[in-house]
Amino acid sequence: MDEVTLKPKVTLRRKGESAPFTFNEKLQIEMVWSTETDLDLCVFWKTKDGQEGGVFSNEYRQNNDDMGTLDKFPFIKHSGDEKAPRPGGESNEQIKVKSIDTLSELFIVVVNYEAAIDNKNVTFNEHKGRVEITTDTGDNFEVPVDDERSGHVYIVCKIENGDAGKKAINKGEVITLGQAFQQIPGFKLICN
Amino acid sequence: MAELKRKVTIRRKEAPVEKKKPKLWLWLSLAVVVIVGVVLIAKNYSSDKTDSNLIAETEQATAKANEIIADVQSGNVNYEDAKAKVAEAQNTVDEAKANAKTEEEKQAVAEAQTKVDAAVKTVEASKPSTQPLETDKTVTPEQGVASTTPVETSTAVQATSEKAVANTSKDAKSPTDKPNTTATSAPAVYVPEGTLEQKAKQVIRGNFGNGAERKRALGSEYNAIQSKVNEMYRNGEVK
Repeated sequence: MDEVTLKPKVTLRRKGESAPFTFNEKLQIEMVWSTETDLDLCVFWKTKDGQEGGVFSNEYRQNNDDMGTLDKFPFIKHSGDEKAPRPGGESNEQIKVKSIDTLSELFIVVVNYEAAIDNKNVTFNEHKGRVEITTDTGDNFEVPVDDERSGHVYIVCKIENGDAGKKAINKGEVITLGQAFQQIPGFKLICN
Repeated sequence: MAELKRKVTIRRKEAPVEKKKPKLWLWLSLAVVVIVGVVLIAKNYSSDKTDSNLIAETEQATAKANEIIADVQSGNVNYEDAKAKVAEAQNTVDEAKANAKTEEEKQAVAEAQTKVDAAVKTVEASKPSTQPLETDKTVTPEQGVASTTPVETSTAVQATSEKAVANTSKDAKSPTDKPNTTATSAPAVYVPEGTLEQKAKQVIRGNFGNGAERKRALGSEYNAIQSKVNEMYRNGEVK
């Protein structure tokens, strides 16, 4: 019997840093944070034929379909909105992925909802947040959400699904809602 | 400038579905159906339910009639008192008859009426012949003079009492051996033969008349035989 070795956890600390990965039917994206802030984990994508979409909290549009499903397209499912954690605790939101075969690229995005609604000048590094990506083939990445620039939308990383394989890239971009509307495919779904 | 959609907390798993306003007419119809159903059930229940008080009244009337018959046959009551008691029992039966609705109630009333009719006949039979007949409708002229005439054929009481008369006479009297119950002529003292119980049974059959007539007929044995008669009634040996 072949010896089973656990792949080491990879932390993509620097912007632009990337790591290839594989998965069969299970890929999990989890965001963890510990401050009393309502952060929202979202995944937006562009399909190989150019269509845009995303999975996010069903509370934006009061539509459970926005959380996706694993049984049919998009084969991605959001676990549901988590508000601020209890004092001293951690809160988390998860997105599970069964397949990205029809997608060309995915953006893992965090929105500081409260700050965006109230138009507060905030940064993400105060929330001690991180996004972890694990696969059923043993790949395990962690991307810190700690950029010190102010903004309401954090593009944590981008997943490229090309002919050469799948790759996670640390984007580390903090942008405004307007910039997100322009730059992130599908982001307009949660905008008025 | 882009603006984020405002989140609305969804507490349910399912997506909010617009509730259809309940149709008022549907609810009104349902309410009417329920009310009518309840009324019908209540009405049916009340009509089917046997009135235990009414049954008890008929049983009391029956018991009173039995008591009257026993008293009359044992000579413990005079004609007027017995007649008053019978009238009282008849009133009770009449009242119950008016209120009887269910089959069970009607059956109980009919049984009580039968017994009261028997009591009426027994009382009328014990009427002293020296007194003028008050109810000519109930006694034929033959009864006053022909002591051997059977009660069944000499009375003209209500048709419903015929059966009761027959039942009563079967145990208490025989058309052929009934002695003269009138007081027009004092009967000779006749001491019946047999044991005390056999003598008591003859008394119960009516062979020796009632009241003073019986006392005269039995003579010195009256007390002993009458005591036995009373004892048999108490023990339920006489139906």
